[in-house]
Amino acid sequence: MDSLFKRNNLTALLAAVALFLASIEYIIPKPLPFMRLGLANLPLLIGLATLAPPAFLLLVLLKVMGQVLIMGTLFSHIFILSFCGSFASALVMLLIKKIAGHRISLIGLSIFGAMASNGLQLLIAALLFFGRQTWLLAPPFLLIGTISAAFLGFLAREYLCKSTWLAREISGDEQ
Amino acid sequence: MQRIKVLDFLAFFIAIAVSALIAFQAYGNQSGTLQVSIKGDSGEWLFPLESDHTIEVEGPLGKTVVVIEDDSVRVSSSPCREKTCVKSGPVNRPGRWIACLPNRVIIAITGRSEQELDGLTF
Repeated sequence: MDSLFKRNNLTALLAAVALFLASIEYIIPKPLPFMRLGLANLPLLIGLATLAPPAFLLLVLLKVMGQVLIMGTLFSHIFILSFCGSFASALVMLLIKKIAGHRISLIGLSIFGAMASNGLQLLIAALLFFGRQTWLLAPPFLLIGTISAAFLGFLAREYLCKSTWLAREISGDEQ
Repeated sequence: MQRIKVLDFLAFFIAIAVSALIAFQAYGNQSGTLQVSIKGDSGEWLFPLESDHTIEVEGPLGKTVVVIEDDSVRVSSSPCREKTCVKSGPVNRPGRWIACLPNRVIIAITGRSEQELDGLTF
């Protein structure tokens, strides 16, 4: 248990940052429903690089819960979409990170994660909620998702390289 | 973790390719013109709704005459007893249909998606 929750402090802190960024994102007006940056995924990417897989999955769960609480969509179909999308993306990113190791950076991982999340969400939306018209929305949704994922991956990678606070936090945990 | 890796580019191109593929699938048959599909015992025909045609469809009772004109399609005469197909008048929107069940003729307008997306909220 000790090793499993070794970086529990960091997990909680990243979850709090995700919650904060989700509320920031909420107050930015969206010209179209799918034109979102996904700011709350930024701490997830940092968690992916720094946390053990179980702690990372816990962080994803906390982010989903926090996000739907802020949006007020806990008991709606948005929650199902958000939940499935986030975990699909988390599992895909963990898997690819394990396979590709240092041949891929957070930018690529973020793009693969976004594809998994958006793809699954579209599939569920098409099958359960909106029917075949969902695919008319799919191309701009996926395209904007890819671009914002690449941007977020870039931000997360820069932060990881430059933050002395994070470096101290990680090395402090390992002592 | 400094530079952009090869697999990052790969991820980006896969994502773009998948989006483009779905775009082709989703928008591909959107711009097509409306078509009239006529099904009878002797076969199935497709006609563009824009051009004028008079088609005689052979059925078990005789000839059903289908007229395509003014961007709409109607049955002008039918050998059946009820004449429901003649009375149903002309149709011109995708998804609409006329059927003559006694003579086994079904006429439907196809082409674009049958229901258009008219609202969405998140």
